[in-house]
Order: sequence, then C-alpha cells, then structure tokens
Amino acid sequence: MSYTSRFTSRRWSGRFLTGFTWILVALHLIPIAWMVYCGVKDNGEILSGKVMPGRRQNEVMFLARMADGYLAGTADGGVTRFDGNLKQVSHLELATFATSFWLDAAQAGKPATLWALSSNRGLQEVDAEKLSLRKTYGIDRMAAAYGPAWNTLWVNEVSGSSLYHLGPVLYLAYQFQGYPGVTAFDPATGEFKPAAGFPGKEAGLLRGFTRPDSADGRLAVLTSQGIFLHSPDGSRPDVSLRAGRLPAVPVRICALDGDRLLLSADSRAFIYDLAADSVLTWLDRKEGAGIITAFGRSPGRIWLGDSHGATSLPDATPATPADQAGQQRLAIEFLPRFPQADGRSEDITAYRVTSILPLPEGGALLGGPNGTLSLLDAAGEPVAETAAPLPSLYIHWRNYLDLWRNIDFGLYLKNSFIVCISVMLVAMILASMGGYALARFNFPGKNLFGYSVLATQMVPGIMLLLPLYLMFINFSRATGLIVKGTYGGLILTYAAYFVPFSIWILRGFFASLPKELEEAALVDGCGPLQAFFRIIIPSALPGIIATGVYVFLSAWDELMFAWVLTDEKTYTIPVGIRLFVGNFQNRYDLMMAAATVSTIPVMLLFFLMQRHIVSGLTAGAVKE
Amino acid sequence: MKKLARAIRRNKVPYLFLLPTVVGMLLLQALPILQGLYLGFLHSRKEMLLAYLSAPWAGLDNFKQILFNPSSPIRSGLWDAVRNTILYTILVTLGTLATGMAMALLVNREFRFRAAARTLMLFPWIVPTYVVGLLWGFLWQRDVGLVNIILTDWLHIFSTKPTWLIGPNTLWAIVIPTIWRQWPFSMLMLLAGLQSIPKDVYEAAEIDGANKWHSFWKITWPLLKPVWAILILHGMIFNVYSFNIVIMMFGNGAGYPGKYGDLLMTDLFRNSFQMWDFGTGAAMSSLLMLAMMTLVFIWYRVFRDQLTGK
Repeated sequence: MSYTSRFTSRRWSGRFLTGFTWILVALHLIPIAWMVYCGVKDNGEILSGKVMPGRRQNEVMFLARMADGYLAGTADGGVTRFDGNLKQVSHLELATFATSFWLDAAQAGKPATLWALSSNRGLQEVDAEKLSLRKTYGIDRMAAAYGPAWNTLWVNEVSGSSLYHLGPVLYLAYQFQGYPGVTAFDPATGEFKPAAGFPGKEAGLLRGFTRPDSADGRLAVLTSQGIFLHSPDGSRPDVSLRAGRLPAVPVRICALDGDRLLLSADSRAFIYDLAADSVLTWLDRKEGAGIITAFGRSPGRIWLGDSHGATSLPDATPATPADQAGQQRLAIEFLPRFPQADGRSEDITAYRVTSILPLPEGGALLGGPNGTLSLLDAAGEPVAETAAPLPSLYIHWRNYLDLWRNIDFGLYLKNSFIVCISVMLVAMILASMGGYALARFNFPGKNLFGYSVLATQMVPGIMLLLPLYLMFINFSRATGLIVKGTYGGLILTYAAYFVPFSIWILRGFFASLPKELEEAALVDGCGPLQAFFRIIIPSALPGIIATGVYVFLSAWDELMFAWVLTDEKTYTIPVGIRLFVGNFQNRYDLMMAAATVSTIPVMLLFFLMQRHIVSGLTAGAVKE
Repeated sequence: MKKLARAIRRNKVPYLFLLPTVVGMLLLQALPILQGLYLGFLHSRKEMLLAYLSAPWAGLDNFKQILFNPSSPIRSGLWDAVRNTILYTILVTLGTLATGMAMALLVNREFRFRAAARTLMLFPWIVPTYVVGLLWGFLWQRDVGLVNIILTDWLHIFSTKPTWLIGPNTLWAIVIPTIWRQWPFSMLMLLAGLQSIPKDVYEAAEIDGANKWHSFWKITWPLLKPVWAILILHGMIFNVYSFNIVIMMFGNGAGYPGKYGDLLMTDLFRNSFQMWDFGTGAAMSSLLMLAMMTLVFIWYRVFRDQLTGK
C-alpha cells in the first residue's frame, strides 16, 4: 500500500520535473527565437513595439476606370478588380513593396496591360483583364542598364505614379544609389536603358514624376534640386527649373497641361505657369488643412487629397498672374469627405487620401490606407465603400538582401571564413605535432613549455594587443611589408594565441591512445615520423577535428584583436557589425538579421560536430 | 653547451614538432608581453606612439598615476571599472555554476527526448558573444525591448518601463546575458561529472537514511569538486577578461557602458585605442596580469589535487 502511493507520487513529481525542465528550455531559447524573428520583421513594427507579425503597407496607390468597373492597385502589390458598385470581382497579390502602377488601355489584339514597379520585384507586366502575371523584369535587369555599381532601388521615394507610357517607351522613375534615374523601357524588346535628356546625379533626390494628359506635354521630374521637363519626341524644348526659383520646396507634382504645373509643399499648393515663369495662383486652403497626399485632375477640375479627406475646386486660370505675395487665390468650393470605409483602424491616418480617380459623371473614387476605397457621387456623398483584401503575412527577407546590398556583409562573412578556417587548419596541424610531442616524449624543457602554455592563457588580450599593434606598424615602416590590415597578420596573431591552448587539449587525446599503436608501427619498420602521420594522426582524428572546431568557434567570436588589426578590406563580422550599427542607428531589423547570419555558421558547425565537441570538452571532467 | 646539443640530438622529433609553435609563441606572445611590460614604464601616448620603444622613459610614473593620483584623467572611471569587474565576475561565475548545477540535476534524470533537451540547452553557448551583446542590447531597450514588453506590458510587474542600459540596472543588464550564455557549458561539465558518480554510493546513503538534500551536499558536491574547481577557475579568467558582450551592448556597439556597466577590459581598450595612451594601458594590464596570476596561483594551490587530476 505504502509502496504504491510512494510510487505514484514519484511518478507525478517526475512528470512535474520533466515539464518544468521543458519550460525552462523554452524560456532559455526565447532570446534566440526573438533574434531570428526580428531579423525578418519590419523595423517600423519593431520600433512601434508591435510583437505580432505585420503586413505590408497597403495604401491604395493607383485607381483606374475599366469598362465594367474599377481597378485598384495597392502599395503591397495587391491588384483588385471591382464592379461599378465596388463589389470585388477578382484579386491578384504580387507581394511587392512600395509599388507603383500604370495601365495601358486595351489595343487591337492585346488586352489591357497593368505595369507594376516595385522595390523588390522590379517591373512586372500584368494582364489587367484576367489579372494574371505575364512577365517579370527583375531588378537585376534594371540594374544592368546602369552598370555594376548598383546597390538599391527606391521607388517609394517617388510620390504618386512613377511610370508613364509615352509612345512606344515606358518611362520609369526611381532613385538608385542616391541619384534619380529615369529609365526608358521598351516593352517590345524588354530592354532597359537610362532615358536620354534627363539629369543625373546633380539632380538630388527624386520626389515626383508626372506628365499631362494633353498631347503637347513633357515628362516632368521633380527632385530636391528642382524640376526638369523633357519632351522625348523633341517637339518642345527642355526646361530646367531650379528649386530656388519656386516660392516653396515642392514635394508633390502634377502636370495640368502643357504649361501649368500643380505643386504642393506640405499643406500648401500652387499652380506654376512655365510660359510666364511665375506662380499663377495659390489654392485657397484653410488654416490647419491637412498635408496634401494626392492629386487628381479631370477636365475643368482639380482634386486634392489630404490627411483629412478630399477637396475639389474648378481649374480656372485667373485672368492675370498672381503677384509675388500670391494674393490671388483659387477658392475651394467642393468638400467631399472621406468616410471611414471600415472599422479596421481607429487611426486618424485612416482618413488620409492616397489616390483620387475623378469620374466623368462627377464625383470621384478615393483610395486610402489599408486598401480602403470610397465612391463619392457628384454631391460628394459616399455611395459605396469597400476595402481591397489584406495582404498576407509576410517574411521580411529584404533585410537579408539589404545586408548584402547596403552593408558589405558578404565581404565580412568571407573575411571571417578565410581567417577562421586558416587559423583552424594551422592550429590542427601545429597542435597535433605539439600535443604528440608532449604526450609521448620526455625531453628537457617539457615542463617549462607546459607551464608557459598555461601562462599564455592568463595574459590579458590587451597586454598583447598594444605591443602587437606597435610591432606591426613599426615592422611595416622598417621593411615596407604591410602586416596590419592583412589576413596574414590576423591569422598569425590568432594562431599564436590558439595553438598553445589546442596543444594542451590534444596532449590529453594523444596520451589516451595506447602506446602499442606506434610500437607496432616501429616494429614494422616505420620511422617515428611515419608512425606519427600513418598511425597516430588517423587514430586521434576525432580529437583533432573537435579541437579544430573549437578553435574555429573561438576565432569566430574574437572582436578586440580584429578591431585593431584589420582594415576595411579585411574586417571580420564582429568588426563589420560594430561599424555598421553606427551608420544605421536603430535599424534593429538589420542588426538582428546580421546577428542571425553570424550565428548560423557556428550553429551548423556545432551541430555537425556536437558529439565530438561534447565528448572532447567533458573528457577532462570525468577523468579518473 | 654539449649537453644541449646532445639533448637536441636525442629528442629530434619532439623538438622538431614543437619548433614552429615555440617560434610563434616567442615572436607573437613572449616578445609582445615583454614589450608590454616595458611599455608600462614609458610615456607612450598619441604623438609618441610611433617612437615605439624609444618613447621617453617614465619610470614608475604610469603606475603612480593609476594607483595614487586620484585626479589623473586615467583614473576617472577606473575604480568603477574595477568594482564592476569584481562584482560581475563573482555574480557571473557563481550564477553560472548554480544554474548549471541545477539544470544538470534536472537533466540527469531519465525522461523522453533528454538528449534533445540537452542539445537545445546548449544553443546559447554557441551564439557568439558579440551577438549576445548585440541581441541583449536590443532586448534591454526601454521602449522596444522584449524584456520590458514581457515584464511591463504582459505581466504588469512594473507600472512603468524600467531603464536597463543606464544607471545601476546596467550591472544586471551585463550579468544576466553572460550567465545566459555560459551556464550551458557548466551544465555540460557538471552533467558529465554527475554521470561518472557510481549509483551504489547513493544507494548506500539511502539505506543509511540520508535524504536528497543531504546526499547532494555530502556526496554529489564533494565528488564534483574537480569539475567545479576548474569551472570557477575558468570563469574567473574568462569573466575578468570579458569584453565582447559589454562593448556590443551599449549604443549597439558604439556607446559608452556608463558608470555601472564599464568593465576593466572596455575601460582599458577605450583608454588605449580611443585616447591613444598606451603607456598607462600597458601599466594597467601589467597590474591586472599580476593580480590574475596571483589569484590563479592561490586557486591552484588550494585545489592542486583536483586541478592536476591526481
């Protein structure tokens, strides 16, 4: 009786302890899981403290009228077709970022084509009728137009649309490597090339790209340095308008017709006349009006979308140009509001209008954040509301691409591998010789050597580093041979540090091998060297490999020596990471991606060699 | 001389095998150490660095500045670093040992997937220390760090989010990640030790009426002495010379650890490679080396039998 109860209580306490152990294991692993997770998260979400996985930004970027309804494109690459009452008909998810769209109407024999330009997939061609992806022209092909110095593509810097079809050429505007590029794409040949006639690096940051509906219009590029207009067919002269000539720094641009540009700076907007080379009129916006986030135009009307809703006014050219103070103003007379299309967001930015499609019968279709759409009638009252489907949850692989594109992480990884593998090989060779000598031979100086090996482990690294730094520099000054900043210098330094330690470990391995092994070999006529290479090394190989792996792991983890003894060509991973965090403040997503990449090689190595390493390390603990 | 020649002739193989290592150690260990000791007696700073060993002789000046001149710029923060290093080393070494022991006892039982549990526990020990610093520097962030999200937002232990990387909390912010990374190693060693203790010892104790608590302190702990003696020695050396975790944790590797987080190694490194004062850096390293060797020597004398495996 008593035995049974005791038995069960033991079983229960055992289960409790097992469960407790597993809970501790799980808690223990949380930091690593968080590291990997944040490496594929969006930094904005990390900074706003969101723990759960997020979705791509999916504000409506593009609206178009189709024969039987509407077509909407969102920034996350969602393309949705709606009927006339905003009932969803079909949907395509391109899974892109910061996407910009352009729709080519159906032509003889060819259905309507939707072009999508994104920062991760490049240019994509979509069948607008069937909503199917026809073709992808990747970023690499776009990059080829600019040669090998390609780094990053920024289309999200460009407000509004960043692609226009003009004649046979599709013009794409995007920022790359810090300067704006207008690229000409020929759909017939699939070729990208820099568009002639547009400014390059001197033009500053790209902000907008526009062209009027009228036939005589030029393509206009808005950059931080000014506005540049170019007519690809040469029908009108190019114009370069420096930003200093404008009364405010414009951030959005919309060409109204051949000569007039609608420009906005935060919450103010004005019309600029190129023929008169002056501000034509200011739009009369009330105090506290929201920041302008979208433009729309229809014959005779101008539409403004802002952070509170949409407004509209007649596009009437004043009889006389405005004076410098901008006294003459166009009054806003039509104030539709942008209703909250669904209850998904309580955020004030939910009322932001991100795109406007004025309708010929009056009214407009408005697009906002979270894929919200609202159809307004001619009186400005909402008729129908809907939302494009939410993007699926995504994994932010882009962080890893950025590591390679923006930070020279590939180089750091290569350097770390070169240094660590070399040190590992040197340590394995020298330490098996040294360990064998200590384990098998009695010779004068053996104890001295053994103690000095131990003593080296007690020297603070900086004690070696200060003189080594001076030694390397002075050696180079004396002989002209560069040591500091080379692989060789670092490998030698590491080897001098890790070889004695490895000798100490391997001595135990060799001592545990039976002496009969070599004795038999010597009897068979082998010399001592032959016996060592033929018999001893193969028998001790597991121990040698375990030691080598341990050296690799330790060298991989070394920061202080590498910091001082490398230069920008030989930076190892820890030095590289330490340097880039200075340039990428608070980019926790990149940092965690970098941390994950630096952990994966040693993790893999450890799990391949786990048995050897564990038995090698614990051999000392269970020594009889 | 003759004796030496004969010794070499007789022991060609071991001398040949050790030759590259000895040359390497002489050039890249012994020579720098000797120079380092010598540098401590020189005014080797900024403009004098390139003068190398012919920098002006300082005598004991560097040592005097460090030890006896409270207004010396080198001294500012030094004693904070010394205090932090001592606290850090003690807390980490003991914390690592205690956690490792407890986990080793838990894993020493028979249960399903025990090998998997042990492998998973080893995970943090493989994470490079600079990654540990970077990762925990992120986890400790006041507003976006996971620690505060869990403690404040989910468990409501604190009403406002505490600051970890500034002020006295810094000590915990560097101690906890170090223990997190190091205890798996202690566990591994202690587990191997536990498994080498024969079962009949416990059975005999149980017959004598000893409970678990008693048998742990009277049997397990003393029998594990060789293991924990070497773990404490290893922990002492390793943690006094700890650098990566602290340097990477503050300002994502670009910041200053502050009064409560600065360790000797980070202080020395800053002093040497940011203020370019090698003379006092070398003097301080010499003192540190002396202190460490004394400590290790004492430890070695006390636990000589265990450490040499006799």
